[in-house]
Amino acid sequence: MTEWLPILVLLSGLAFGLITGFPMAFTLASSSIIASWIFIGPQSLPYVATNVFGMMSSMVLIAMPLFIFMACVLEKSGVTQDLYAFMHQLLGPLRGGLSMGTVLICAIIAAMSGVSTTGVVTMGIIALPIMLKQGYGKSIAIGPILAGGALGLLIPPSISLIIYGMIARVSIGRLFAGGILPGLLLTFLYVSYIGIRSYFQPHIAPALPPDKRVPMKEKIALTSGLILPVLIISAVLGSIFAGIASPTEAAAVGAGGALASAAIHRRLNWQLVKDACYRAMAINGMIMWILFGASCFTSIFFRTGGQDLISDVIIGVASEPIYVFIIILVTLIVLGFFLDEITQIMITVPVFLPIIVELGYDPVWFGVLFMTQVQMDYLTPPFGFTLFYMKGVAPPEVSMGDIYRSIIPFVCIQLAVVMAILFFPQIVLWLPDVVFGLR
Amino acid sequence: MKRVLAGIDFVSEWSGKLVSVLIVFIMAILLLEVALRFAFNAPTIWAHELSMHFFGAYSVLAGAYVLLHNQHVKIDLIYLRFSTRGRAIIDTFTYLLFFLFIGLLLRYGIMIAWRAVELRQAVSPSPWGSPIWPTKLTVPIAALLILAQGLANFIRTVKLAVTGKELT
Repeated sequence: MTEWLPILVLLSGLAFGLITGFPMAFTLASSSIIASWIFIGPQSLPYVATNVFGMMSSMVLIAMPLFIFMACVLEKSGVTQDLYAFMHQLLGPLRGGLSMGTVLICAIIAAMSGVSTTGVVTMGIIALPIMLKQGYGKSIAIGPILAGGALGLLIPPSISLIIYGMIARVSIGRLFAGGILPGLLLTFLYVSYIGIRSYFQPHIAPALPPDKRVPMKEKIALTSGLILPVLIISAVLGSIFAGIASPTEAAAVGAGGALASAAIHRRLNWQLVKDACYRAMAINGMIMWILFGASCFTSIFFRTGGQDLISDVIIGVASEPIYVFIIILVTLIVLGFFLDEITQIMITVPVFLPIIVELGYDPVWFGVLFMTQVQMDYLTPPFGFTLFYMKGVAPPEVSMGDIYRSIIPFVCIQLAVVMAILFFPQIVLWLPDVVFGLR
Repeated sequence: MKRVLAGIDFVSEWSGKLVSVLIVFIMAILLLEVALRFAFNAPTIWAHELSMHFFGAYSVLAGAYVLLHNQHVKIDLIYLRFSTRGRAIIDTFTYLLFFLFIGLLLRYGIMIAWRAVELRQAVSPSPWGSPIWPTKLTVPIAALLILAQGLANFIRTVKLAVTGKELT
């Protein structure tokens, strides 16, 4: 049993961090230091600096701060509000329209910003008081914000997919292409669910009263602020898929385009650039320090033989590939109760991916399956991570029970899509194969 | 004492704000590369490598600013159930682990930076082969900055844990 001791030390370090609210970056790094000091010896310690530097010199990750910067510029230049005003008027006259609009807005914001679900909840929360005031039931008002925001893990340019691509050493372009169909499928199912439910129960999702609607002409006027941002995002993704620019270069073009679009709308000023710079620096720094800690953690996990032990156990227990997937998916659900998504990707992908590859599955497919699963974990009652976050920012009359009731149908839809991806890999792989050709 | 702590806060604030400009440089370099490649069919050998150096410095040097603004991701479902003073007592102990990590990062950061200077290490494999020491040097600098901010936070935390009053 002694070979299990290093893993035990590492995992209890992690548990210690969860209980004490110690930042994940330092929890991961210091538990790895203690484990390596005991089990490998003090001569191994310089790995702390080399691992941090290794993360800093990752070519793939340069796309991350650029996408974050692009999102910050778009957000600060008021694109979010424009989008909201437009969706409100476009879909408001439908039963359940505001909820549907919220799904779409949260999905689009999530796609643009690629930051964690919690960030999107803050933006989506603007929509909640408006929906409640319109007479929407809590059960149909809360779910769309959470479910839409979680799509950010899946829809390009997802930061999580970039980090996955770095660990798994697969093309970011293929991952982005693979995330699109499942993302659209989820969006479509969410909107259909809201539409069907509010058609039969109009009292929980009334249409916008006619006196609050605006004529067609004004609706079109509302789109003017959105045309350029939509063009930018399409150009960024288009150039990646067409293979004429690397994801990093495309991200730079996106960031430049966002600045240009702000300038054309006469919203570009010194304050905006400064705010966007500071915010992007803080978000990128926060993510990168988790990656520093996590790279120390996983390197010691590997050097003390943790990877081999875990995969021996999984392969020993599971006689069929399907059981391997069940073990992985259940592990992810449990971890989703405790860990933020970046830590979760950093410490589970290096363990699971070799097993998946050995079984002959495609790492791009697994990446998209992984993200679909992770976004579900954050919403799964009773402990899903974002649910508590939602409770923190929602108006006081919203109880934890309201949040649970509201999210369950969405979690069921997500589960169905996870199953669909598991049994029909073509949902993920079709688009990358069409865009980039067969490998 | 108060002025020392305020001074550390000031340094962290401005170190972060200063490096935040690098993202504009990274963007500009890559845009230039794209323009040169498409318009003049003349890609550079240095654009991607230079942006990698900038990215490294940009990421690691943000640490102190993020710590100052308390933005490092933590899982605080249990932590938040304690009183302010209870949290300060917990933090007093967890900060020791923070010092362990950052102390080692400083020590071995100096070591890898010094070795890069001594051996004239360059980026490889690469057609440009730029020297690697400036970026490696940012590791101990960042460790020093975040260590100072951690120390300032630690002093405030201990004061709060012992007396139950915040250091104003």
